[in-house]
Amino acid sequence: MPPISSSQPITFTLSGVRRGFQNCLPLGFSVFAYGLVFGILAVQAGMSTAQAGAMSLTTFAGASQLMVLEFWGPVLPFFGIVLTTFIVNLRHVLMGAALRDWLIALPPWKAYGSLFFMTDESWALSMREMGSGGRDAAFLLGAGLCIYVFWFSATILGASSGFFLGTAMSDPARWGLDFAFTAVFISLLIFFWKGRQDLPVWLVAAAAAWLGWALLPGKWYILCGGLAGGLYGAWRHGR
Amino acid sequence: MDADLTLAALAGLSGPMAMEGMFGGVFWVLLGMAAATYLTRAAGLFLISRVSPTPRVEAFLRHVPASILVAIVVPNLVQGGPAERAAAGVTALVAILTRNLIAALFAGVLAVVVLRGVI
Repeated sequence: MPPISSSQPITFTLSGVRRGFQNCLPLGFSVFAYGLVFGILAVQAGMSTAQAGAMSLTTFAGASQLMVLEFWGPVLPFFGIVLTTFIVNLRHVLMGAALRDWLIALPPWKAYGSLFFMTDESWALSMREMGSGGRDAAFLLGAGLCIYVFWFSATILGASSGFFLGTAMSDPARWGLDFAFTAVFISLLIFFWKGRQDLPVWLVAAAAAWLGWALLPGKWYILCGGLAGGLYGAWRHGR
Repeated sequence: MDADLTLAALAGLSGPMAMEGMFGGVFWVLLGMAAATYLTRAAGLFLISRVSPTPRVEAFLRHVPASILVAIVVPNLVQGGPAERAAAGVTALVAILTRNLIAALFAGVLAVVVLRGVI
């Protein structure tokens, strides 16, 4: 068991849920805009509104949901999609581990239930809350639920309005919507940038992705780049 | 949208998806994604309450997300023309200046529309 520095015990209350939800509201609105984009792109990629909504309710992980749209088509590569989803979301493993002081003190069903709703945003707010001495672990659940509500409703709205947009325009490229994917991922990359030490890892990932793209069929270049960058980072760490 | 909302369509039991076999169905893909994602969310607590990861494994996991994003962006830029590459630069610049995903997204899309008309 980890040492709990504070003398106060970890709690899990309704007011903690409310506090997490309220703290997450500003982020909820930007998640909403992001969810609209996902809904619109999902329909463009060939999903129905119900399918996009079901994905947002069950997978509930923005980057991986956007990423698998690249695979979406008449033939769905099951293992490619699931493996990509898994690898893209591997960061959750470290995020969940980082919340150990809260989660390990809870009954397992509350801890593992709260983790279903953990996102980058709710995790970041929860880490801040935990770091500043917050003892109510339900904060994580509340913040996660806030993102969940915004993400799902925006997906449905984007997918259904994207349906009307789609019929109204013959060429999505004319509106630059085809570039939205690239723009989202470039922006996320900028936010991932921690400093100059990232550059070699990113170059290795870029080289591996480019090779994979040139040599391999389908979208395997994504896994090539991700694994190469991760392995290089791990190898460098050991030196 | 009406027909798509039926459970059968959601499960991939009608339409072209039904031809792709069990694992080609949308239902199974969604279930697989949900299971894979929840596995990652639960695994951290599961593992940390039993063993502590080596620094090397932590370094691997820390570098994977950004590497995946790099991997996705690179072929898009290789395939794209000068308009797409310039718009990528605009997107990155706005993302750096505003730290705002939506602002960067709109700037990038706007830039690509304008640049495609000009270049």
